[in-house]
Amino acid sequence: MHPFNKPRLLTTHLALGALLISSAGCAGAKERKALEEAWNNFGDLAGIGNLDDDDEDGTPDWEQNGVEGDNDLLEVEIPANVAAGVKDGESLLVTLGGDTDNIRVWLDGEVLMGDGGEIEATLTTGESAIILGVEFADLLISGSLTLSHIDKDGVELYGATFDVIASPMILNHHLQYAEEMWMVEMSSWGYSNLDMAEAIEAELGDRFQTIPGTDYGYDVWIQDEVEWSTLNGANGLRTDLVIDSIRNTGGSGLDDFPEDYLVQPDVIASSWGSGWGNTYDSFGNLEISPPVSVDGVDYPYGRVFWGQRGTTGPTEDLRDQLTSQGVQKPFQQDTIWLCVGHIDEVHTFVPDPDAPRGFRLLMGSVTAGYEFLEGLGDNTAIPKYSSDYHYSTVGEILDDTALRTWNESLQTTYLDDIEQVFRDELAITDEEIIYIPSVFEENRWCPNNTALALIPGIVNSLIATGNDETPTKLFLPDPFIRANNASQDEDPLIQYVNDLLPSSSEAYWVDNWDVYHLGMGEVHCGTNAQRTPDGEGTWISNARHLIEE
Amino acid sequence: MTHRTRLFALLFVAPFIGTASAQASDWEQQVDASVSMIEATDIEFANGVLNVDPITTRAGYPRFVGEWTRDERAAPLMLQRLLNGDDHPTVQAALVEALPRTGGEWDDAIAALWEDTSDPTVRRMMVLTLEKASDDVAYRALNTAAASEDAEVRAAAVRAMTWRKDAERYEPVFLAKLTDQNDEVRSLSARASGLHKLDDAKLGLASMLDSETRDDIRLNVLIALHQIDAEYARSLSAVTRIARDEDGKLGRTAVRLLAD
Repeated sequence: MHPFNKPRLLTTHLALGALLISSAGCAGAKERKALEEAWNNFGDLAGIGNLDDDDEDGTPDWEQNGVEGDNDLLEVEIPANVAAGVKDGESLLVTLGGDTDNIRVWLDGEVLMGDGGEIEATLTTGESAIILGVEFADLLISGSLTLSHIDKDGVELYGATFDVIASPMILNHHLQYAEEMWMVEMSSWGYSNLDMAEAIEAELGDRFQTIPGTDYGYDVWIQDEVEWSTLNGANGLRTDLVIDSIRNTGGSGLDDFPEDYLVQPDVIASSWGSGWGNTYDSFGNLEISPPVSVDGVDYPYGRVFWGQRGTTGPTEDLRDQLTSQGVQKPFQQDTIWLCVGHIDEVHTFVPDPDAPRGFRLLMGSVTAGYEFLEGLGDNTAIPKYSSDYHYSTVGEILDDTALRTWNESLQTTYLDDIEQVFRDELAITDEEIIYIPSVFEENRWCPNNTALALIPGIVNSLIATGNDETPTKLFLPDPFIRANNASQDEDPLIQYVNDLLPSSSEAYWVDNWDVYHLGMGEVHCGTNAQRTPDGEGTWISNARHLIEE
Repeated sequence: MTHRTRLFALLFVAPFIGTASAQASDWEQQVDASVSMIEATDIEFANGVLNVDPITTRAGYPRFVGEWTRDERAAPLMLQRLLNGDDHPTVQAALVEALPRTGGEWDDAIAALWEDTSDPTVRRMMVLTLEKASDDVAYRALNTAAASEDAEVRAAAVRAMTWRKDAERYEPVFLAKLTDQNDEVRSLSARASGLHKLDDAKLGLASMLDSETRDDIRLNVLIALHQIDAEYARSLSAVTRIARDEDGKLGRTAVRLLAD
C-alpha cells in the first residue's frame, strides 16, 4: 500500500497550493485547480489478460513479450498537464505493486517495469501526455500503479495510487445481444435437419451459421460443446474466451470446432478438467441468469448455475474455475432425475422490457401441462405422437394414469425444488415466472426413473436476443399438438404459449422432432450463441464486491 | 451368414440333421418373406434401413430416427439386421428400441429372442421393449423375464410392466418383487405399486422404509406410500423420523408429504 493516501495528499497540497497562488496569480490558480483535478481523477482501471494470439503465430501474446498488432494492453494516460507540471529538478515516479511478475508496464514500445524486473521508474516528462500500456498474464491478475510528483527536495507534491486488474471471465446471459449463432447441419438417408436450419437462417440472416456435420461425426449438440465468456476492460478491450467442454476428446465429435471456427485474434478457447466427461460436463447443463440483486447483493452479470447432486455434476476443475472468478457466484440445481441431466431441459430466461427486472423465467411445469391438456377435448388428434409414443389423442395421454401420477411426482419432488432454488438464489418472484406446459416420459434408453420430454421441451429454445435495431427472436420446438394437415396457427399449445411470451419477442416454432426431440434434445441443445458483453470494464466498479468476497 | 443362407439351412438342411429347434419359426419365415418382398418392390428403402446409422442422442445413446422409422415395412428389415448380427450391440439395442415405432410386426420376434441374447444391453432393451408388445405376447414373456436369475432382466421386466396399458395384470408381480433380493428390482416394484395405487403394497412399503439403506429407494418408497394412501403414509413413525432426521431430497420430500 502506498504510504501517501489521497486524503493526506490533498491536505498537503492544498497548503502548497495556497503558497503557489499567492505568488502566481489567478491564471496560475486555474492551472493548479486543473492539475489537482487531474491527479484526483486517477481511478481503478480494468484490463484483460493477454491470452490471445493477435499475430497468429501460434504463441499466446503474453509469452512473446511484445507482439505486432497487439490490441490487449490497458492504456493508462498520464495527462499532459500532469506531465508538464513536473518542473526542472522535479521528477515523476511510477511504481508497480501487486502481482508484479504477471504484469508488464510498457512505454514507447519497451517494457518499463514488471515481469520479474524493475518495479519503479522515473518518467521523462514534457508537455505531452504519457501513455503507459499495462499488460496482464492471465485472468484476475491484480496490481497497482502509484504515481508520485517529487520536488527537488524529495517532497511529494502530488501522488495517486490506483488498481489495475485483469478481467475475470464473465459468462454470457440471455439479455445480451446474440451476435452470432451456430448449428450443425446434417442430412443422411432417412433424416435431416436442413429444414430447421433454413427456417432459422431465414430469420437471422448473417448472424446464423451452419457447420457441416460431416466434419464433426454428425455431432449436432453444439450447445453442449462450448460456452461463451468474455474478458472486457476499459476503452473497448475485449477478448472472447470460449470454454471448451471435455465431453469430447481426441478430435471426436465437435472437439475441434472451437479451433476450426472460433479461435482467432481476440478469441481464445480453454478447457478445464480432463479425462472422460460425463453428461453433466455438457454446457446445456451450464447456464447463467440475467443480472439480479439478491438480499442486498448486486450481481450485475447474473449468476452461473449448473445441474449437480452431491458429487455428481460437472468436473471439479471447471466448477472451481467458475467459482474463482467471483463475479457470477455459482449455485447448483438438482438435475440428476433427468435422463440427459441438463438444466436447460426445464428452464430458460427470456428478455422482457416490461418485466420488473427485464426478464422472465420460463419454467417447465407438469401442472401446467396437464391443466392445458385437460382444457382440450379428449378427441384432440395428435398424430405426431401416434407412432413415436403410441398416443393418438390427447385423451390417451390423459388416460395413462401411471404416466400422470409419475409426472405429478416429478413436479412435487423435483420441479418445485428447482423453482424454489431459483427463488432463493435469484430472488425470482411470482411475476417473473411463466409456466410452460410439460409432460415427461421414461424412455427405454434412460436409466431407471429418469425423465425425458414427451411433449417437446418448449423451454429448451434458442434465445436470439435483439438490440435497438432488431427484435429478440425466440426459436422454440414445435409441439405438434394438432392434426397432420393443420397449420401452426391451429396448434392450441403454440397459441397458448405465444400468448404468454413477452410481446417484445417474435416467436418462431421450428420442426426439430426427429434429429433433436427424438434425439433427446431440442432447439437450444442444437444451437449456440456468442453475445455482446455488458460494459467496458465496468465490472471493476459494479462487481468488485463479488471479486473481493 | 446371410438371411437367405440361414433360412435355407433351417428349412432344407435342419430336417435331415434332426434338430427340432432348427425349424424356422413362424416369425422368422415372416421376416424373411417380408424382406424379400420389400427388396423386390422398394430396394432403396430396403437398403436404406439395412444400412442406415443411428444418430447419437444428447445422452450419448444411439437412436434411429426419421420418417422411415414410422413405416411398418421397417420392422422386418430391422429384425433382419438383428438376425444378421453385424451391428455393434448398442446399435442392435437401438434397432430393438425403434421397433415399436414402426407400427409393424415385431413382438413375437423379440419375445422369442430375448432369452438367448447374450449381450446384456441388447437383452435388457428387448425386455424393456416388451412394454409395447401385444397383451398376450407381453404377458408370457414378461412373466418369464420377471423370474429370471439375471437381476437386470427382472428389473427391466418390472419397469416394462409398469408402463403397460394392461398393467393391472402384473400387480401380483409388483407385490412379489417388493422383497426381491436386488435393490433395483425392489425400487422399481415400489414405484410401480405407487403409480398403480396398490393398496396391498402398503405394509410391504412401510417395512421397506425401515429396511432399505439406499436413499433413492427410500425416496421411491416414500413417494409410493403417499400415492397409495397419503393419510396412512403420514401416520407412519418412519416418515416422521425421516422428516426430522434426514437432509436432502429425502428429508424435504418427507416434510412436504407430512404437510400435504
